[in-house]
Amino acid sequence: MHELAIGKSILRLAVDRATAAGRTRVTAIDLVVGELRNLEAPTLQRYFDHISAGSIAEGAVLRVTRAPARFTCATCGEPSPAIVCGPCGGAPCTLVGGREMLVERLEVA
Amino acid sequence: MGEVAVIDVRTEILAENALEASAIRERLRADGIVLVNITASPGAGKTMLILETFRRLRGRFRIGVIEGDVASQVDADRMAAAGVPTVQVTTGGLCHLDVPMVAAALGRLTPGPFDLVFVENIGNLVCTADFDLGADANVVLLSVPEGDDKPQKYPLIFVTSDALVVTKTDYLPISDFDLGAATAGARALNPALPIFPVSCRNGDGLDAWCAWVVERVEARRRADDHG
Repeated sequence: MHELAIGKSILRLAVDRATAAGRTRVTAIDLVVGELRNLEAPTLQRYFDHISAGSIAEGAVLRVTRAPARFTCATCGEPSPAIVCGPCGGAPCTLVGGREMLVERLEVA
Repeated sequence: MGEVAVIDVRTEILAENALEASAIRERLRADGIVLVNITASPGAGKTMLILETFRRLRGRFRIGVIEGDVASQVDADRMAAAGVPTVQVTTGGLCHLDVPMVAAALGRLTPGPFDLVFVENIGNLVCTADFDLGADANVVLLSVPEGDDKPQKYPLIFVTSDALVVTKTDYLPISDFDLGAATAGARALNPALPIFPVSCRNGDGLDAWCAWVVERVEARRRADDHG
């Protein structure tokens, strides 16, 4: 159900930015969501459809790109896809990505 | 209507929440209050842990509690019966507390001033992980009856937490719960995570947990003393 609160934030951001750019309609919203985030795209779209009704973002399609978890090795400094470093075997690596949740861009008319 | 165009936004969706969280964090710092956010599944023992912590530390710190629940005031009544200054926040179905709810509750919490305020978040390991409340410390509880696989199933909450309390360890002898597996699962996500196995029923481990809480308050005081 946190999709509702997140949907409201997305709607506010989209309407503000589109209005500031002198636009009257938002047709699509591209999102980048880290894989560690608990976000169900279909649920988010359903809530968004409901709360955006009557706004300039009514009917906008939410397109979600999942960003993978990424680590940096504390030992050798190399990027690693996992908690144990791929290049040197050092552990533990520091989580540097996978928690992001961004509105990347809007398609507007 | 103009032609179709693309607007680059590249903004964190919860940026506003993050700003609100920073604001409350600064306010708490100015007021000398350490805020500890307690998150867990329903029934993991959040209320019991807060009550037992209150009993052990009440002579040392002025402690208050913000009780979050979807409905009812059952937990606030338990707190009040134990003499804990408490404010109940009822979300009416919403699955997590947010900064405005906590800020409003802090305003209603009396009699102050407080050194330490616990927030008992809604029983939920999913939604609570996404919302920074401006707390100094986020603590996740995992009770033995729930099973040792929760870090794999609900990773984000173990990433965003500053400590893990494994509750109801008195059930360990009759359970398949593997403390080593739970520890490994949590530390794979959060390598430096302090882990406190406790039983509120027999008191095991509560001294170590309380010492960690005390250190959070003392560290704040040291930071304040040094400007």
